[in-house]
Amino acid sequence: MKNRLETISDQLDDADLMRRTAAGDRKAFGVLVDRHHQRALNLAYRLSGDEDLARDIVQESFLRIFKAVDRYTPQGRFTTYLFTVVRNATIEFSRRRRRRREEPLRTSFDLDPIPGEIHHGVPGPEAPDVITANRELSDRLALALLSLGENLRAVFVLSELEGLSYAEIARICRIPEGTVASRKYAAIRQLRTILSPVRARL
Amino acid sequence: MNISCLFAKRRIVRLLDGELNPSARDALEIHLERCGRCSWARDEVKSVREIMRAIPRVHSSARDRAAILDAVSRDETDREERHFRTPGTGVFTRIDFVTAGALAVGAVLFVLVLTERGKARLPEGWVPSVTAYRTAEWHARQQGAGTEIKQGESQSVESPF
Repeated sequence: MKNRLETISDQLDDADLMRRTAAGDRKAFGVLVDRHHQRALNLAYRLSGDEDLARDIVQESFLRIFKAVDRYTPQGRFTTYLFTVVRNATIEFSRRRRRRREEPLRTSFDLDPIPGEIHHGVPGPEAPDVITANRELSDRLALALLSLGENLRAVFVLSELEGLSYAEIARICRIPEGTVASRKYAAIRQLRTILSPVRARL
Repeated sequence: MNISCLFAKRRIVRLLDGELNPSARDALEIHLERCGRCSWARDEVKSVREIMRAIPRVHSSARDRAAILDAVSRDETDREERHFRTPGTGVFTRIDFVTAGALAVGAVLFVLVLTERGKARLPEGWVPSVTAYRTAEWHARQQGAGTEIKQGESQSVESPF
């Protein structure tokens, strides 16, 4: 059962929680983390294609937000701000990783298993071959997404998978709204080509 | 308004995302009703979007969230420590006060010791003028001369330096 403070925090909007955090209320920041961690993690995972890296990116992003809490001015939704930080952190982490010549991010459309525990939804009472086929499909989709360039991928993920408006995406990616539309169109055209073997089998 | 197929295709994604204004949307919908190729293109876009929604998700755990709050807490502690180590803030200020106080006490003691040395041991001419004046005064008092020593007399003491 939630205590009174938690109930109050749940009722507060993100801007209020940020104000409380700036005033030294760490629990308010905890509520923000609970509220947005899932979406931030999915965004980081879809942009980077690496689950462990995504967790590091999200942790770093929340830490950056906490450090800059005094400078936060609510302009639009908090998620727009969060996603901007996550996207920037993803670009930085990916570049750092490439510079260090660590294990490269998967960018080819090969069918190899995705490491780590990736949840593909509750399997249900399906036959093992159906589960395997579903897993194979979602792996292919993940790789198809990674085969897009960084800019096209960001626009596609933010629009299609996170459901943001063009105005919000434009703010996050610092591009005009018209560019958002054209990048999304380009992304879908590329995905259509990449996914044609998959679609033929469906 | 009549629109070309190229124009229509480039706006299909916007139409599906609800990002077109009403007049542009109406014009595009009329075009799509009439043009088989463009309506096929719209279905293709829809199909890709639907397939991509099956992309895997990762699930956030309580451990991840706790790790973030731990990192925040560690950062806060580090920041406090850095803050206190920075000159002019926190503990450093307190240390400054302590150091300044100790230096002041040391200086007073040094002057007192110097004065005592001046009184007791230092030969005339080896001490600063004020001390020399006081030393001379002391000697005079010891000798019971009772004569007042003027400032000028002490200034006449020559320093070997």
